[in-house]
Amino acid sequence: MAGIRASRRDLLRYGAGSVSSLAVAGLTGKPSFSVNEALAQDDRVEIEYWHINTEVFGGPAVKEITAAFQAQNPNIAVAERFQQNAYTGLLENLQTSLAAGNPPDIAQIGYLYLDYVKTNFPYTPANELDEALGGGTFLSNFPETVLELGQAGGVQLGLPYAISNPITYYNADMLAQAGIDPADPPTTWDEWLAASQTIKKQQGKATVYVQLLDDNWTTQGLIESNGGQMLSCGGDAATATFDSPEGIEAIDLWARMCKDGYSLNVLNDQGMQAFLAGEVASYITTCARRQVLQEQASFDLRATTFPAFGTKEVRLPAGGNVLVVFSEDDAKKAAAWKFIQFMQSPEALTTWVKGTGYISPRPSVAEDPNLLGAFVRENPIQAVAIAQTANVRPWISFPGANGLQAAKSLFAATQEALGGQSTTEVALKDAAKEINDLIEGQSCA
Amino acid sequence: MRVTAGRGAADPVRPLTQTPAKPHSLRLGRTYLPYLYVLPAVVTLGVFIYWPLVQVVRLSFYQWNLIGLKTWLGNENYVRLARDPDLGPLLLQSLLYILLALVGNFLLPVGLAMLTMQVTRRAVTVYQSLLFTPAVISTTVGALLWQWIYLPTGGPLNKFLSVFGIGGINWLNDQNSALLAVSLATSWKFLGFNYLIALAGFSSLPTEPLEAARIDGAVGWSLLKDIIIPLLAPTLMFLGLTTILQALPNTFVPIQILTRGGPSDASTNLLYAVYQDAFQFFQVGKGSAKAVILMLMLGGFAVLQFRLLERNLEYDR
Repeated sequence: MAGIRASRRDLLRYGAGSVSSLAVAGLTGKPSFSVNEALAQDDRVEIEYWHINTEVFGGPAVKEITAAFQAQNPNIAVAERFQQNAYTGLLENLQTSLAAGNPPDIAQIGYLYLDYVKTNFPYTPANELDEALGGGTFLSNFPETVLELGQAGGVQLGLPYAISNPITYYNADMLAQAGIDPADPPTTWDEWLAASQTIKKQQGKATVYVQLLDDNWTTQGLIESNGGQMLSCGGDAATATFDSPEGIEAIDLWARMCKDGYSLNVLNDQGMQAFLAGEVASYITTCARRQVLQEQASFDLRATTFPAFGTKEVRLPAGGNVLVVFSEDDAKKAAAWKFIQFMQSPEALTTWVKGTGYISPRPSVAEDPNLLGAFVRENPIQAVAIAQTANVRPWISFPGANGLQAAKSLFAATQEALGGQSTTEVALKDAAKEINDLIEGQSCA
Repeated sequence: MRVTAGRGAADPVRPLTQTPAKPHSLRLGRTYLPYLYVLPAVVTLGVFIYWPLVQVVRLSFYQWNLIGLKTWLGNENYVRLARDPDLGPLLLQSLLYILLALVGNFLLPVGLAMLTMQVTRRAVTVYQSLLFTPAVISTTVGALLWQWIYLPTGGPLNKFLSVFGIGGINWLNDQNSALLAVSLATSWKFLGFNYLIALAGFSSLPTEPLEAARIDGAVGWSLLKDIIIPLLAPTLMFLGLTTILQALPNTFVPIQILTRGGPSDASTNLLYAVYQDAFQFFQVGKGSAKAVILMLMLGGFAVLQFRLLERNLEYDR
């Protein structure tokens, strides 16, 4: 049985709340690791935190939170390390570092990759850490729906930290110039199509840019909002079903808009550049870009909801990440959990949300007038994202060892359809066939 | 003191006094000393070049995701690769990248260096500075700059082309233009360095043969073909070889930032596919098999070029 041993100094250091938890955990033997003697020493514990936050995408907030934590905990040195190419890039580097036996202590894992991490990586589940070091009380600060975002196969891999959904940012000046009331922007695809025709005719510019990245995030939003499904989990095996008539119709609308010059078929960086340069009137992307867009837009920036297909219910994939602990050393695990608790504290979450645009995983923080309450009221873009949380669904990943390759197949098919290299139907049908071969025999997470 | 005379074979002169025999340890030292001198280089090359090469070959016979257990597959990775319908286009696109690199990073800098030789010394400095600037800009920053240049709407390139009635090219997201666009961004970055090497080659050409050829009536193409190119052969061979060997590695960052190999793999190549297989899809065995093929391909080019180099160096002897 893995025991829990801690000196009096440890217990004081990690708070009275931890005392009972350590004792209880020690008695029950539930946690699979122990807080060893390393914690009893005054040695500095160094931990590494991997994140995807660039200087214009929450990086300053990460630095501010880390500095505040270090000021309070001089014995724990936190090295925050930015990882390129968002969650995909972080996962690649994580797997390589695990192979080298030098993983980070904490990493932001995109919801998309939770199943992959659970299947392939060694980690310490958040509930084990909470039981050993927090009396099992810390996780109770989060709604069950939020905690579920950090689960895969019934395991609480980590603690959801960033929650986002796709919203529609728009250039109110361009809409006004086209005679569209910026206070009453289009909210359905039909309305955006009508606006596109007007803007193209008057200004010769595109109207809607939908974020295009190899994570298929917005692709899922489009397909599922039109009533389609990415994966079917009926029976024992997962099957790709994005090539249903609803899925084809949704992607075909996007492709036709690109063909007609109403939308842009470019990767996200170029799309964002075009939006900020006033070359396209709207930009459908994560609410987490709120801060950077507000900083860099030289026009009246506003936001509205993800466009609906007529009266169909909008279904959006939850974006964001979960903080997962990969430490191998017990003292580092304890320090990592302490840092996670700090990052999830009301004050740090206030900094995090203001510095990004993510939705707080603790709704009480957004409602508290002393924390984010006033900010949300004064910031209608943030309010749009919060209003859409009811429409959020899990971000689908393709299961199994070939899941990442399957995701690439769908991305390639989307690009083929948008570029007009083949019809949407052919591109999606071919991709579904290829993906079903790749995930054959795999069950949904 | 040891007294010796001249070295004439017919008049061998022996030391007047016999020197004592060298100690055994000294003789051993003299025997092994040369090996000690090369030891650091051998160890460095062995650890950082040859050992990883051996490992890549070894891994190509396994299935491995970097963290799990390795499964022995024999030659299965190669068999699958041979049957993979994507291998043909991948090899073709790799050759296309090499060909375009030869145009952008070999022919163009050599041509520019030749033209620069016709202008005044002060003007040479200006041209050098202008052409070398991209070489000091980081590859990532350069790629980001090209991302902006290639913007389909409002991008400077399309704005410029619209003056001539050409418009609406989606450089990075059209299957027909993505590879060319990546290749152009790559060549821009590495052109300046190769230009300097070519310029140094032209500057160091001996003047006597050139003058003699001119007196003999050689001008224009015949002067270039029969005199200048043979004299410049070592420089040209070095440039050609490094251009070919570096053509694919140089495209990695531009591909990663501009297209990620897309759309639909239209701008990928063998080297980027190795990265994707091994570090994006974690199919290390498959990636290693592709790496071995890449190694053989580039090795073949290198051998071919060395042979040509040896033949052409005859001019310089």
